[in-house]
Amino acid sequence: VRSVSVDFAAVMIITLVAITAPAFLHDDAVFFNYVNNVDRPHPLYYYAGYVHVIPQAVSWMLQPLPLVMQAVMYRLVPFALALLLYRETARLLAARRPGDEASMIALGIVLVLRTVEDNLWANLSFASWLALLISIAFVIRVRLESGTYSWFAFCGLLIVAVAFPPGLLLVLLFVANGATTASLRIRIQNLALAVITVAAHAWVASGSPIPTLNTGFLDAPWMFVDAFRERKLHNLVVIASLVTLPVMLAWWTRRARSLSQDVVVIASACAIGVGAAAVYVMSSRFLHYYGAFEPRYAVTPAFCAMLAVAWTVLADRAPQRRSMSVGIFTGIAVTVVIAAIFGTLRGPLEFALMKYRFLGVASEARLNCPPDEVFVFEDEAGSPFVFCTPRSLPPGADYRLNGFAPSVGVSAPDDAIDDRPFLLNPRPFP
Amino acid sequence: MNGATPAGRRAVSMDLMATMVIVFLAATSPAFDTDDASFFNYLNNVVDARPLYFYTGYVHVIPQVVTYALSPLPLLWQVLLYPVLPVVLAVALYFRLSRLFRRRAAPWEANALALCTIIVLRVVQPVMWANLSNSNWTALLLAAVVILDAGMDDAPYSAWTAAGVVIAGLAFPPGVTIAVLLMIQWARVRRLQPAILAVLIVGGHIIIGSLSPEPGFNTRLLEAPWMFVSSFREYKLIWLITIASVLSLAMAFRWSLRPEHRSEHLAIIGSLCAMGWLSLGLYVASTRFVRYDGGIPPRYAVPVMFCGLVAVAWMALSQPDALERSRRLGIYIGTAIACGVIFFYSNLRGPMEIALMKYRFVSDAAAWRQDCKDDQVLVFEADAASPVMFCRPRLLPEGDNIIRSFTPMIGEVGDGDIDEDLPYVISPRPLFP
Repeated sequence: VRSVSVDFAAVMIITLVAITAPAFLHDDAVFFNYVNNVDRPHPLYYYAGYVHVIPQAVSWMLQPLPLVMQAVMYRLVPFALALLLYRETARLLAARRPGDEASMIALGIVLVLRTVEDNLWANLSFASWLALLISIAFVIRVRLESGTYSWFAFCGLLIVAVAFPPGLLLVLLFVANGATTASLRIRIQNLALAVITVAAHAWVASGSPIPTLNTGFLDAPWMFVDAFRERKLHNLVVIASLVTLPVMLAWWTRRARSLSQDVVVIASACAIGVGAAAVYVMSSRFLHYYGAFEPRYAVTPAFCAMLAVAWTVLADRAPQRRSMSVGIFTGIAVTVVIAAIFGTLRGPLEFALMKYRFLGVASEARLNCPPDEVFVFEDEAGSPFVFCTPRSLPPGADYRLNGFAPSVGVSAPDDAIDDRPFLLNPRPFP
Repeated sequence: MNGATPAGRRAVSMDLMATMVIVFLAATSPAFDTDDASFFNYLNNVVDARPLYFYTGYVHVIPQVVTYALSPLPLLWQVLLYPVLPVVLAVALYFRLSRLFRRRAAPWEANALALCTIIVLRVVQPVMWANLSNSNWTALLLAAVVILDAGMDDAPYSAWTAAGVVIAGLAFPPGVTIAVLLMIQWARVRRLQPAILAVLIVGGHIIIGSLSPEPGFNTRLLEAPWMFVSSFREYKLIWLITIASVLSLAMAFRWSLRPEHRSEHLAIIGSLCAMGWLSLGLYVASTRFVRYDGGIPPRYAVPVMFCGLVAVAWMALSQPDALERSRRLGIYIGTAIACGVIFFYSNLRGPMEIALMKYRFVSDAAAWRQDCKDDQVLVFEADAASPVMFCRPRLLPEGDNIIRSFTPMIGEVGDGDIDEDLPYVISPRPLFP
């Protein structure tokens, strides 16, 4: 029986986590600038080598709203996904041990992920990662229940699977589910998802203006060693995850005599966790970051490793030892998230509020301004800005704002011309 | 616990592991830091040094006596032996705390909780574990646990234990808080021994306080709330920990007042509350509170935090539902693990490397002393708490003696401003002239 109080505490804590997380940063501003400053923007387009389906489609759909409302809605999407991640993780773990313990561990997993990547929780541009984790937990649970996907779930899974390159990992689960079931309907659903996903990724990649594969693959170990110190914590998280997952799988495989539910879950987590690290190393992003694991690329292996550990903890038949393990997991998670948030409790929220205020001012200024004017929040590549009137620009390039008369907004150093934000007018998809 | 049984073997191996962890905690803590250097400088640079003297307003009994006892040894041996006492006290604290917890827990659970308590304390106050000058605090906690544990058996103290309690109680001003524990014990069992020990401690403090060259009390007590508010941001983490500890104690006290708990838990929880709250109250009422402008350096939060941790652990151990009890113990252990990992991850080798540099300096200074000019002084760094070495010990008038009148030679890392922040050699007022 799941306790309402644990769920209530989880909602409160996740809300706090989302409020204190960095928001409207990085690519959020880029997507915002595009849909609000370019005439007839496209819903889907290539950016940084691929199509960011979820943030691009959402920002395009929100475009008719007032500027401030759009920016606020940007953070509500990842917040809703974070709550859904907690719910799906708890439901998956409850398949092993129903009750509070599954919910507590699920909350612990979400909190640890907050310390691994703080941008996940209030940035629309990172929503794809949360959606991927939710899908992983959902697909594994449906496999355990030998259930079929509803049309709603089928479409959702398809969107997540094609949303960004790591979505390809879900194919592993689709194929495994399709291949190991006796039900024809389940087999068809999973194989259809796998085929459509692979085809969609091949189609997107064929049109991408940037190469997607790491051509210096053999150098990867040396690059990783060279970059180790730069991203030490996240590299350690990845190493710990990649050690934990095979060890868990070996332990469970040796213990179980048949393809039990336990082995299915651990094997799925292992495949996705190891696969996520491998996909990153094989991608051009690995070269882009000189061999370091940027925090977001450590999220999937860490999630899978924690899922495997949590499942093993909940499988313990000694109730007191299990309760203590759940307590230890929760204690660690709460402490690390407090440590992560404590140093920057109000900073990200205040920074986001400054940007919302800027957008409010820019909305009013837009009503009465010269055509060559542009309102810029700050002279930085990931800064929001607002043209006096949206412009029609030829596709396929990023435009620096140097040709305009920028009116700098809230917190701008005035000499950073070289790092001025750019207006994306990319190649549309398809 | 019989070491031949599986549970006994597990507890013994955990004791061994805990001892190693505590040695590791000490090895990675700041050593020969802060006042250690002042005591060292006094004994090795002043002719006819005294064993007990006033320093910063009171007598630091334990570090002063130990440094005095070690002073005949070669310089390097002295500083290498300084961390031994803090480590021994920390290990003793672990064993006594574990013994206290065993009254309500299996041996391995008690060991785990005791070790976790020490890890959390280490994270909040790193300088307690290898600095001789901060060993008073560890001795205070140890004495408190001994009194709490003995109070549950109503057994008399041995002469050694009684002497240890009195020394810890007299060692420095916060030691007076254990007089309260003794008085509570006396009120419960009506035996004379705890009362006599309490009177000795309080009387000793009154005598020492009356001789002190510096005022001991905060004369701006009415301003304390405003000073607290204005200093909050600077000492945010420590104040929050202190407030959380005060609230934990209040929660534990309320829990112990329940009719079903009153006879069993009120004595220990009440004692912890009395000690924790009093230690904080004494700090606010002392001149130290004014000196730090209403802030709270970590060491002054240690007693209240320790009492809060022990009270929380005790409540968890007393939980009747076995599963809930295990979960709460797990949260306690998990919190300590996370605190330890986060803290050590960010600063594992730094303090040890600085201590090793200082040891090398002391070793070099011993060799330098054999061939130096009379007006020369060798300085580790231009810092008030730096070890310094006169060419030969001198007879100095009472008061702090800045070494500006000498020819300072900077040792290992002289990165401070030599004109502004030179270390000093104390030649203080002795306790017994």
